Amino acid sequence: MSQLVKQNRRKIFGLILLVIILLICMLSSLMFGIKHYALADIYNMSMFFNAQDITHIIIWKERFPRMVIAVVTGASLGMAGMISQLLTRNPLGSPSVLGINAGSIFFIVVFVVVLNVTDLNVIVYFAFLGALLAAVLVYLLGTVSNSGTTSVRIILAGIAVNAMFVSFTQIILLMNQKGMNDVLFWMAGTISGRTLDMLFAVLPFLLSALIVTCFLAGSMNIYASGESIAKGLGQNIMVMKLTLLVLMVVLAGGSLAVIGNVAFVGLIIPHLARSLVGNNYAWLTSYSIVLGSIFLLVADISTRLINPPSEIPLGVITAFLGAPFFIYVAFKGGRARV
Amino acid sequence: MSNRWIVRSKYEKFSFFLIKKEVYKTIAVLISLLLVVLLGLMVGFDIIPFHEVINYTFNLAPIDNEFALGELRMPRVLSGMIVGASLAVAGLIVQGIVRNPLASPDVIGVTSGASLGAVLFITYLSSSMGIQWTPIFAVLGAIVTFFIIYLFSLHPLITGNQIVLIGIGLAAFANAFIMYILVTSDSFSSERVFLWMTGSLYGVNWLQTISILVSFSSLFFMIMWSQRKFELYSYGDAVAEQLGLNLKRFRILFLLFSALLCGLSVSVAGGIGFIGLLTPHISRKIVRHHTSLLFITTAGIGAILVVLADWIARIAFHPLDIPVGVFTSGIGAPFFIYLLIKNRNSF
Repeated sequence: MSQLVKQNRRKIFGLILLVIILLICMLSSLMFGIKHYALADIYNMSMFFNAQDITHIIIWKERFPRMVIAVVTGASLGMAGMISQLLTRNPLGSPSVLGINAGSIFFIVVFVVVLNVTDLNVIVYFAFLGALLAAVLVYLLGTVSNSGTTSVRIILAGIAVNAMFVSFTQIILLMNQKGMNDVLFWMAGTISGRTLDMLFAVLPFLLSALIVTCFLAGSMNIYASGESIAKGLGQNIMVMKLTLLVLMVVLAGGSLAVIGNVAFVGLIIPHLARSLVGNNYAWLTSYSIVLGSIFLLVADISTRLINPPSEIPLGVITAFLGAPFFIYVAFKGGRARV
Repeated sequence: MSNRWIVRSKYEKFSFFLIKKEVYKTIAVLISLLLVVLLGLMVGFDIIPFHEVINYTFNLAPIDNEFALGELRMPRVLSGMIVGASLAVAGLIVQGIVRNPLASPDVIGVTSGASLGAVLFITYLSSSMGIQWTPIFAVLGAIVTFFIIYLFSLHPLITGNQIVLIGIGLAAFANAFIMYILVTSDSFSSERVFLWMTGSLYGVNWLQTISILVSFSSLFFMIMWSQRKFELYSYGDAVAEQLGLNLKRFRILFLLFSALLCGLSVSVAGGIGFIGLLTPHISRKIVRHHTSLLFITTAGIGAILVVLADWIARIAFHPLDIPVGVFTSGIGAPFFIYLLIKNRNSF
């Protein structure tokens, strides 16, 4: 018993430490960029905001929205990855690998380019719809096997669905070349230039999904122990699966509607969290949220610092980090427990 | 009476049999290829009559549409043919070596590796060395990718499926690298790269056509020369070794063939997806028994598919010229899904 308390104490300390790191990253996100600002500038800005001062305006209008968006979408993507890995029972099963990003982007592109609507409040629903369609498609394809879902099948199904949606998107863009510029940032994935209004359109969905997921941690623990055990313990498997699916779709689709195709966050974060706290979902959820935010903040800061004055798309940075990680996990053969 | 032919050399140095039906089917494939090529040459924005095509090809008489046929359509159709054949044969080889029906050079990242090699060259070296060296670097990119995959495959516990997954990761990495180069390089070279990357046969010239024609023919000859090894390997590692096949050397040799074929086609047409995955499945339905016939039908069907896809991409959305790669992926991805459903019990 005392052992358990000690362990939990360590995990709490770890979480507090991560939150401190997160705060430092948030500050850095305000400070560093093409132009660096001192802490004093940020303090002045928050205490005595002056609408004439260009420094204040840049921090408030440019850096601050970026920071907030990175924190929220990072947390959501990390959580979406955790849920999808649990749902597919596969260490590689993150939204981008499963083609959910591509499905979402395809629907957004159809909506913006073909139907010419730019109201983000409506686009969000299309992002959800695309994510849902891709997720259901992949899940059905992954489970047609007589031997149940095998880990490779579902990934291959994801790759196929991904390729399909990507080429459909390309065909639409080629046929409507003038719409290209309106949707290019969604395809490259970036936080640069996104405004807080865009975040507010999805914020209620993301926050409620994050909170619900945290409350579900206990049920997720039971579900993770295997379907037959969960059934034996009285869990309604179908309801659980559906809930997880909806949560994943909302978290992934909602983030994509704001920052576009940022891949591999959902792959890396759950593995990192699991290596820190093991398989207890009560801890995994909170760690995934904090780690996801930190990861996306750091990635976003590095997009500005690597090749100034030009910016590298955020999606490129996450793919650079994520692809080798994917190879590593694939090589390990998915022996890590999910 | 008999359904097969037996072929023997004079002193029985070699002998083999051919199943008549498969020979006829192979010939049918080649005839369809000829028809598709004719279609591609004759029908476009305007129609060039058959006798003009013949006159031009065999240099019998001067024709009216010399520019449209000789400078635009002919190089495009011919290189489409070679690109399709190379990708298809490369796919057949990769599927055979990994022994996985879902593997192909573009799925396991070799196409992306080749693209990366070419993009690196075009961006950083082409201005000093000249653009004509692009194929060398595309081939280098393909070879490096294959080498990495080969290193992974040396691990004793690794399965064919894991190799496919590792290749998918390599593809993602190479694509991210390409995106990075596109974003950071100056707009002049990134425009050039972008034009080339879309997987298009638009604007292929005679020099490129001739060079891939020559290299493909010599590679295909070498593959046919050693096709018996390929057949032995298909019996499984243990049997093949018993029958005297050096597994390691075989794998390296054939992966090299595949990398060369891939690099060549990528250097001309960019990344045309799914031909390498799709074609071997069709050709294995047509030819079951004889590997050299299998190689020929695979090359033929690959050529048919790319020429046909390029023709549709050229015609269907006129005046837009859709890159053929977009088109093949649009058809190829649903086919991949079909394969997944069909092979639902095998993995």
